[in-house]
Amino acid sequence: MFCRRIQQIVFYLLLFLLTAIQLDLRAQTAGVRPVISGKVINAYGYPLKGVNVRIKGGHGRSISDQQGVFTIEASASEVLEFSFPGYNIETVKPKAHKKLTIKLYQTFLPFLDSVRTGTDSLDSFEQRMFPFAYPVPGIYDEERSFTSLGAVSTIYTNQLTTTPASLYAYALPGRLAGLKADQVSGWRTNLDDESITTPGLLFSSPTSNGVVSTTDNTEIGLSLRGQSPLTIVDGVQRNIYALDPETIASISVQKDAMSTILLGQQSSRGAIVIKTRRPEAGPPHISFTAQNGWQSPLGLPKALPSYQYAYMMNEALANVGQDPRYTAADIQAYRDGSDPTGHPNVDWQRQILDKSSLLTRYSLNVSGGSERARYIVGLNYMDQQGMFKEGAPNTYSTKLELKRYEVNTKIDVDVTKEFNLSLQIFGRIEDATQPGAGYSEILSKMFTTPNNAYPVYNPDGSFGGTNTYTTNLYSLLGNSGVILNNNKDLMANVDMTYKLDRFVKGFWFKGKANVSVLTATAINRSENALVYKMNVDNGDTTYAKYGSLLDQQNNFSINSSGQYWFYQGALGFTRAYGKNNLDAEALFDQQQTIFNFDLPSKYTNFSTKLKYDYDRKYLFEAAVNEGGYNRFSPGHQFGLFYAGAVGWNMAEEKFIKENFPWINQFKWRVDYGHTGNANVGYFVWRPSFNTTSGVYTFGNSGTGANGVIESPLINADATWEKANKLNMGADISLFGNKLQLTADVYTDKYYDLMWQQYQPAIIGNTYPSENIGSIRYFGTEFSATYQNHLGGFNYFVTANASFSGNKIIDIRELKQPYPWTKRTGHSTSAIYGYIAEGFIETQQEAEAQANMSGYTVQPGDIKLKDINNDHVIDQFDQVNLSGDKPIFFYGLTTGFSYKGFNISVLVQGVGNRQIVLNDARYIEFSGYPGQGQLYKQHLGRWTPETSATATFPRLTNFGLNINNDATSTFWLHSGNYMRIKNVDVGYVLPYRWTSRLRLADVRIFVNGQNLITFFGVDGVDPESYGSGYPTQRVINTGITIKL
Amino acid sequence: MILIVSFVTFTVLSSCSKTWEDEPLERFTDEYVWDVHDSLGQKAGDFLNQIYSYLPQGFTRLDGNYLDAATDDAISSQPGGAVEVMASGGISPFNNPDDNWGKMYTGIRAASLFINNIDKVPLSIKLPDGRSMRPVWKAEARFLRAFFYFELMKRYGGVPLMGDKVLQSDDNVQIPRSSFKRTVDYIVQQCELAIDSLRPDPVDMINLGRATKVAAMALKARTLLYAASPLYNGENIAAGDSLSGYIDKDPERWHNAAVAAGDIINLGVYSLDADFRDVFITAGNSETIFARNAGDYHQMEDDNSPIGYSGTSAYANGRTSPTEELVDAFPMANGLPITDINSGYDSTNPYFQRDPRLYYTVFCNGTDWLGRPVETFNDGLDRPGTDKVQTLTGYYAKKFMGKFETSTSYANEHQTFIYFRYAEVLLNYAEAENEYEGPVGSVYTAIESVRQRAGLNPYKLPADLNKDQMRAIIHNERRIEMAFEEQRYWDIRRWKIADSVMNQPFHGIEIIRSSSGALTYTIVPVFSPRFTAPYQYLYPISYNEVASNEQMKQNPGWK
Repeated sequence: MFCRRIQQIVFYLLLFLLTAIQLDLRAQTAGVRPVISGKVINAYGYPLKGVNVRIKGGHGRSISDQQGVFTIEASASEVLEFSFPGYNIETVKPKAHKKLTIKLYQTFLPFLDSVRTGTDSLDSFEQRMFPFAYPVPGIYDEERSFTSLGAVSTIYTNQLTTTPASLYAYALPGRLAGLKADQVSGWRTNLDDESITTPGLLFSSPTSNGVVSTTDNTEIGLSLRGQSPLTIVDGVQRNIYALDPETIASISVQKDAMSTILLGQQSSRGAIVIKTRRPEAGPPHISFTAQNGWQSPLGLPKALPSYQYAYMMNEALANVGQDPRYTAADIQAYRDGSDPTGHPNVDWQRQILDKSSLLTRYSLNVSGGSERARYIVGLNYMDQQGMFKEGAPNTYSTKLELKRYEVNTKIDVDVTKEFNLSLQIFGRIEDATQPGAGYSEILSKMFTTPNNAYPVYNPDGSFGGTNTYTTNLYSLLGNSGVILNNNKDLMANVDMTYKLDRFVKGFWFKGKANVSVLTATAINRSENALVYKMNVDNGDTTYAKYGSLLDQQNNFSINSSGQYWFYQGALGFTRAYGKNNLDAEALFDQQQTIFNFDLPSKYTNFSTKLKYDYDRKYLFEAAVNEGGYNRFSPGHQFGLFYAGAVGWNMAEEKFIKENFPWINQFKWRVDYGHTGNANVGYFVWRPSFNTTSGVYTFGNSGTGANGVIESPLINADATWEKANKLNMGADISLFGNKLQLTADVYTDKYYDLMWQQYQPAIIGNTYPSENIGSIRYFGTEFSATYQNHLGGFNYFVTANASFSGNKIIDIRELKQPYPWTKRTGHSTSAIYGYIAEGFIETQQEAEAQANMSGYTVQPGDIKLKDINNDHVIDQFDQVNLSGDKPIFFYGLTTGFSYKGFNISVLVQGVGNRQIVLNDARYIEFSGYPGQGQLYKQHLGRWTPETSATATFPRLTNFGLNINNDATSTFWLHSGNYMRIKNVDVGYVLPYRWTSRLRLADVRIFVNGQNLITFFGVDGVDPESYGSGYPTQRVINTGITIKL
Repeated sequence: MILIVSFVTFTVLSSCSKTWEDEPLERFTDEYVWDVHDSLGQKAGDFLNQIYSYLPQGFTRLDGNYLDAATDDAISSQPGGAVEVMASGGISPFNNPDDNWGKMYTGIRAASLFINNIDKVPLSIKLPDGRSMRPVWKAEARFLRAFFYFELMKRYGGVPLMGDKVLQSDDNVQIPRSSFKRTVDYIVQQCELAIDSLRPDPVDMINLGRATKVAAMALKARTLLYAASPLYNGENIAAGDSLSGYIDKDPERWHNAAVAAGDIINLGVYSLDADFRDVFITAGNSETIFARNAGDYHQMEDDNSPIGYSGTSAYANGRTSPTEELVDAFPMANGLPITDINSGYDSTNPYFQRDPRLYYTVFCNGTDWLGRPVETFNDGLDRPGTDKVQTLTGYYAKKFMGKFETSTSYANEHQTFIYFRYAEVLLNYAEAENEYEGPVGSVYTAIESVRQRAGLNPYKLPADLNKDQMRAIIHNERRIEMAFEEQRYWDIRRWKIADSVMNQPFHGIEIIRSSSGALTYTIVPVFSPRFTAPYQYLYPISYNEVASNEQMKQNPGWK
């Protein structure tokens, strides 16, 4: 069957070649200029109207009509060039007597509306360009880029779909100036071990049990100008990061005060704004994509084989004055593998990890409708498998896996000419499974179990183990039962727009209502299996069992439940008086969140916004917001926030227009604002008491009596955190929009930050957080884009770079005895620790060395510097190791498309970054006290013989050596790295073939994520470098069919 | 039209009657706790229960180890833990596993809050003797508050006395430490205030665990004993520093301590239990004065049984390894110390015919447990030499465990951590009276009654002991009678002997079994403790506490 298909393909290929040659011959013989006619279509096969057709290097020009049809006189040797705003240039040599079909594709990078060529008047320019131009997204509305005054970076669908991942957040690193995105884990934190407790991270509403809320992104850490940004999907704040990238029209980051001021008491944080695609009128556009990726883990450390482990364990024991644990015969047996049961050597990573695991995704999008009513429907399915093996023997799947089903529909109806109504429904089901022991538990055991711990199987087929290792790693995969996590999300949006021109010209009304619910539940069907240790005693083989047998559980729990309401009404006025353009708006909205059993958290905003420009040359914008949050004490809930911006479109000045026609846009902009952030605990202003149960036992019954406990001290004056933000920037477009540059400089002073000051404990209760912190964040951001074409070879390069730093102005620090122990004046991300001065080489050196209390150094230990010369190593010897340099991060995307072929490459990296590598994977024997694992780097340990070349301190105390394990420059590494983050290669099958199958477009592609990393430390991933789930490299193949 | 509809919707949305309360009413306020209508004082009573919960934990509270593993009585079987830090002189203003500062002040605040507010509650419940419950409850809170101050005093010396004040976050908390003298006086005065109002002894079974009159007397007696001890009384680690001790030496303080202990003896309510082991595992025995009451469980067995018993039906983690020094402190059953030439001690059979308390306190090789003898010889079941945490000394701690010598598994036992028991009162009395009057008859009586109950035969002491000889006997008797009861840790400090005791290696025993089954015993050093005098005699106040309070003075020698 497959063979026949190949035969067919070869046949068609030959046929194609033959006809091509024939046509060519024929064309050359023709002497006159024949009339060429043809049709221009888009990817879906629908006609494109208004396409510019011209003969390259010659005269003659034509424009396609309503049906996409054009005719032009051209000889066979001439080249026809097809151009259309927002689309790649296509060149074709016409073939006589052949009806041409030209297909145009949208450019990889968006087409922005900042071009003003030569003598175009503004109106005709707008008319001509706006239907194709990409707008600049705002949190609720959209703007034209030449009047936009905000510091906003945006990416569009194309830059998202090349990333093979479970979340769109994976596509963000390196693409948006100002947004730092780090992949901290390769797998989501399952909701059963949810532990997000940072107040103010999500809804500023920590509940009584400390849990705040839930987000579906625990893999990518996002930081926007030093803040944790809000996520706004289609105008509604929801932390949804798992949307099908094909349904997303744009993702933008809103960085300055003006752009976010309408968020009132959440305006300090900046926002990530997601706009999903709008329905387009026309016959159904159907697009189907199927893709399959192979994920493989990165940055796994290399474990030592048993014989080396045993030898080094003996060495470590000798170092702390204990007897050796292994005899020479033991070590020999480990080495030659003669006794795999008694002296095992198990490479646990190979034993329990799959070489590659699958990531499968399907999506189907349909859009269309009449001019009056349009629709879009998106269906999406994803199946991501974890890196663990299935395990054996089991009769049902216990694999780490995440399945997701999504539906996103929008209907957009023009009820009357004035009234537009739009309805959106988004639904999502996530079903996840993991082995009953929990994947993080298995992972941490994998990192800490030595190769010689126990055999996988005993000779009798039972699982191996010992009285120390009472579980068997391989057995945990298949025999610990299963935990199922099921999440359900439903969101419904109604939007309406009513133009009130009938009553007063220029007036309009907009309304929005959103309801959404979320539940996350878990079914725990885990169990504990026993392990056995084989003993041979006088020829008798016996098996001792270890571990505790636990019957399979069957528990159900609701981990979180959320209900969200959002409604918004806006009355606006948009009108032009000559060259004066005015846009005014009054806005009311309220967002209410009920998370689990908490009382509602309610944000209320009253805003007024005014936008004015003169001839699109002088731009002004201002907004005032009266924003409230109901968790502050009554009467102290509303605050006033404001922002203003001015801009000057220099390129519109006559002088520039006449003398520098190649400058298309040159806009200066400055904005300043006063923003807020409600970061307050749960009713911290209210004194109260709580019942506690079983606090103390009286009598002989053994049951605890109830108690009553005073709640923490109150902060009656708690108020919102504030920031004064200043942003200055310029947007420049040159050479017919081929080169676009944007630069921003900002300095944001945050004050009244919620901070828990250390206060004397003699008061007998916990102090509340108070509005006392003050930190300045500052930085610069650049981005440059160049796109052009050489004939039909369309290429682009876009790059961005950001510096982001901060300085603590005041945190009411405790009085510090030494200047180097102060935190004030330094960056919040500074790492404090000791200065390591190599290893201690001799006994005399050891005796002269200052010690930590409770530890006496010996030769081979790390020599820590006694900064204050008091002959004790303590926290007064800790200094800022990393410095306060602003972090630098950058990304560069480049690529081209030619004929049906296209490539894009993203290179991304971070500079000025330091990391400390001293967790369980780097310190010897950590994990199980006294018997953890050893890795390759431990081979370089200090011994008297190797003291000159040692790269690691002497092996000691089983992961508890306070001197060597302390954070010091020994463990500090440059965290700078560069990654070939993403590569996408695609090919569109020739239309001639696909049209026969009645397919408009068939694209096959291969793409990859995290392909090559340049990083200074071996065997470590620069982002997820702890003991968490490793980052994955993904190689993905797929096909997109459009019809 | 549309406009009207939307306005109507809007109005409806914003004028809905409230579904949610404005404040979380489940978090009740003080009017509910001090309910002026509740004659049963339900919530107020619960509030009092909460104060009890701040009593210090005992038993294996430090990473599964007894506090005594930071003395010469034992070491931790697992190196590197909290008690090893303490035994190696690793306590610092930044790291103190036994800090308790914050917890005690939490208790003090709660007690003061209770004392200040309980009068609002119209309590009508009464004791069986007809007394109203209000002064009883108030006295319980007062006693507990004094107890918390005592816990601070023995760690830090003089501490800030908060009185009845309950401060709020905007109040000034820059409060200085009171002198040692004032701290002691305050504790004693609060005890005296409580004594007459507290419940009579012994307390009925239902209220087991509540503070009684004698509990307050015992606290007073122990406080005075500590205050009379050399560390505070005349040998203050920093001469003239009123925070770390008395600035003078006054032998009368021993007298006060002796009188306070004697008052309890004279009361005659408590007596020694006939069986030493029953003191720790039976509820409401005649000896326990005040204990951290708890349910029935077998935590001590799980934590400390020899490790060879794990994997059967029991947990046995062997966390604490008693030292040879402790074992050697136990005399022979004939009452003579093993160093006595006439004692009959045989170093090749060291556990033969010893003080019965040795067998109740320590698992030696050959002690019966769960139906088999303990094997701590090398490669024995309980000292297999494998990876597993196991004894480092050849001994395991046995005290407080049930009588499971021949059982197949543990049963739950009444295991309460005892703060005060009658034997301690006797020993306190003997010590104070010997220091004040010398080895008079009442001293002999007190200490001999403890030895008699222990099962020594003869239990009588030589009649011609001088004061120093008697002191040595009393000190040793305290050590073996109250091993693992968190006494020795503080005793070696207040006697000012820690710098000699804690600066020489501790020993264990290595037992080799030959193929014939014969055992040879070798005493080997196992751990080198460290103690730096004089400043380590008192704990440092945590750095943050000093740095955040300008009035707070650090203890001498700490920075």
